[in-house]
Amino acid sequence: MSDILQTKKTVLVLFMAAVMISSIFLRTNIRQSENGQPRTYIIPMEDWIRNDDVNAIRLVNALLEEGVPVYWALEEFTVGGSTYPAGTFYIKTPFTTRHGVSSKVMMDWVMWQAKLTRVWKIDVTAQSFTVNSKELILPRIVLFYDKTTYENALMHYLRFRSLGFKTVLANAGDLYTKAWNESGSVLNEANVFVMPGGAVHFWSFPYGAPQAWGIGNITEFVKNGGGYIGVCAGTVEALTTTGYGYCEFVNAYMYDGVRQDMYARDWKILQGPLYINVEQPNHPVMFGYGLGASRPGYGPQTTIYYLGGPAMYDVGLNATVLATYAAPITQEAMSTVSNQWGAAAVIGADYYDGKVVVFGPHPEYPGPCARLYAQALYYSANVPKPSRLDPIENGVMSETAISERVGTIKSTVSQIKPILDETTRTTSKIVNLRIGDIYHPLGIAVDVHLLSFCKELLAQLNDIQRYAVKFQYEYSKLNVLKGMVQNNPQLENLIEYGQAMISSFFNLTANLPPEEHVIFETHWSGIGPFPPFTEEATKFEELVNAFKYVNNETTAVLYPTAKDFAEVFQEYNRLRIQNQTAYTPEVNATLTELFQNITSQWPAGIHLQTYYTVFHTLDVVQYKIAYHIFNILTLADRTMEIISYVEFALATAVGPFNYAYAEIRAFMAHPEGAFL
Amino acid sequence: MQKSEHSWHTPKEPSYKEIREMANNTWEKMKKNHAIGGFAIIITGIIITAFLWWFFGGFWFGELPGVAILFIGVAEILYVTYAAITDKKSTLLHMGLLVLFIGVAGYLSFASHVMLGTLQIASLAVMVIGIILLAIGTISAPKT
Repeated sequence: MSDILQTKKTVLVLFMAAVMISSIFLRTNIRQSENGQPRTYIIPMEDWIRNDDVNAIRLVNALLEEGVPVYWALEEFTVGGSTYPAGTFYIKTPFTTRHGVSSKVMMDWVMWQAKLTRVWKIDVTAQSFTVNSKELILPRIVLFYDKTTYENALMHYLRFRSLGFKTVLANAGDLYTKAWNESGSVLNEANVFVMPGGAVHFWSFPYGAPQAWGIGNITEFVKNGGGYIGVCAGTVEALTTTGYGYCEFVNAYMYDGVRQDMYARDWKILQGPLYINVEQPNHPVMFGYGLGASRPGYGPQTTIYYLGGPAMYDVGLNATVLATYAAPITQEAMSTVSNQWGAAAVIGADYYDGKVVVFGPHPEYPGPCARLYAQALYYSANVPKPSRLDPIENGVMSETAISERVGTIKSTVSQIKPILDETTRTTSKIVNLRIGDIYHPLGIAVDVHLLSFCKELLAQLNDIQRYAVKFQYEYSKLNVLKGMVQNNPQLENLIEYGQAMISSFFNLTANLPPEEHVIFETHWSGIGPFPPFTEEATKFEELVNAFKYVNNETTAVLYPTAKDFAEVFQEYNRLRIQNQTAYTPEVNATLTELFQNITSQWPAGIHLQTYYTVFHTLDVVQYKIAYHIFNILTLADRTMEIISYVEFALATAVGPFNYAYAEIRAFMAHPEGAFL
Repeated sequence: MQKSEHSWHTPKEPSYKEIREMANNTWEKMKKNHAIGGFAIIITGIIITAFLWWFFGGFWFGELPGVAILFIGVAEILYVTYAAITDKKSTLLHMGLLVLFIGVAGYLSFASHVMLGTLQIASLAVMVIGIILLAIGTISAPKT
């Protein structure tokens, strides 16, 4: 009996030992890895249960930044028994990145990142196949960033950031000072120019002023192969027949004879999401949308945000109508705007060597059109341009200098937060006065834009602080790893590259580029004077003063003005209702007189006063604060991508336990960074 | 003061032998539950692992919930077997096996990637804690 028990015990102990030992030595990655054999990695964008398409596009952009050839299937194809629709991305191995990383390491990193960022399905095949494709060129975007762009520039920046596109912000001054193809000009370093919505931007390029040369530069840029994306007002300016006579890329007519109220106010009722019909589902811009769409919201009709953009008619030969306005969702359109259904909402056009895509509605707003926008950018970017975000030289900062910068950034953010919080609260109070009502003839609308900036800035300041702490930790980790790869110059170079990017980030926070806009103290209509703006920040920490200026102006000037306007606004509403319910000529006359007083241009009525005051504050926020924050974040996002694949390559080289050792050492030095 | 009809009394203290018998009777019922439950947990773990494997398109630490459940089932069955062979059973022993196999599940999941060295080490630490608990449980548990 005791022998049997002894045998059982031995078997049990052996079994447990076998399980444990096998687990310790099991380091096989069961995923199909390249192992030196050519493979094709396919990203099926339609698998909406498993693939987040925004994150998939971000991954594609990260690869393009590294010079990895990514192909965009322009037609359906079948491989390994699976059929993939047009618009699928695929990457063929072997390749080497521009920093010498092998395709095996890079694609393992891609698979790892895919898993972490909810792109859970990337098919890998060893079978060869042929399909009509475009080798993608990374869109190097210049985004027009001006007072006339309102909140649209913010929304564009946010959308591009989510998709992993790195954006350069440019104003009219940036566009005229150098020729489009001159070294150092923003257009020379770009391949797509994006004109967002807002007001008619050509106010910023007045006829006869030097800024007007900017229009010629944009035109030549597109003529010579550059891309142009117009959204809303940016579309209006690209039409040949609007009468503005500026860019004239798209042969189409914005027919305000049908939509009679284009310059009046009835179109306001349509603001919000509406439906568009996809007319050309086989056009690259529209891949994945329309009748056959598999992702929810992408078809049969696509939802897109509308803010009074143009409806286009009489589309000429150089242009293709990609989508038309289909129907409102909840809005009850007035008869004066009802004829816009069926008119073109999205147009793709050729202008000499350039590709142009114009949108009446707003693909950058939240909703299912992120992929649509990315595809418009891929379609219009056709001239390869080098990265603008590489460090100028591989000079790295010392850990002490970085530590100092991190301390400064953290203390700056903690100083700004309560100030920004107060500004946000005051702005919320202004919005709650209901004077911004986008459906009201007197609604000023832009108060909510200020609120949007305030809310986003808070999130972005947190991002910058998080990045700073994270980069300090990563820098320290790279130092430890450097000691492990001393015999491998390629890996050492990668480490130096990563550390140089981290240094660039901290350098940028210490040396903000100048922002040229002048904040005026008075308006031509006599509004003002506002306190002079003398808080130009040359360092991140100096932004505190700009935030203080905005907070003071919001509290001391903007809120009282808005409150005065709200009283008149309510009086106007009372009279308007009285005019409709108990009409008398006297009431009507009073109402008309009040409307004229409120909207008077000279001397400035309370409507213009409030409007301009919001804009004055918004200008400071947009130019003197957000401009710098956006630039810092763009560099930080790129730095994070580089750090991610550099560390992956290092972990592959030194093994998981050595990498863990580096992580633990960095954690002991900077524990906070390990958890971010 | 009216006297209660019911008198308060202290129940008789069970003897050591009675306690041992009660424990043995309970164990006779419990070991069946441990065994059946263990198999049910293993099957659940396999199903969850298979689904996660399909969903994520490969094996990585996303499968950890399924693998952990699977190994909790294994630990349950091993506990019954271990107790039957050694005649030793205690909460500490049971816990030791559970911790050990959760560590094993963690290591199996994290071993699939080079970036997860720290978590691999953490899993090994959990396994060591499990083994220590198991050893203490084995030594301290009374023979039944």
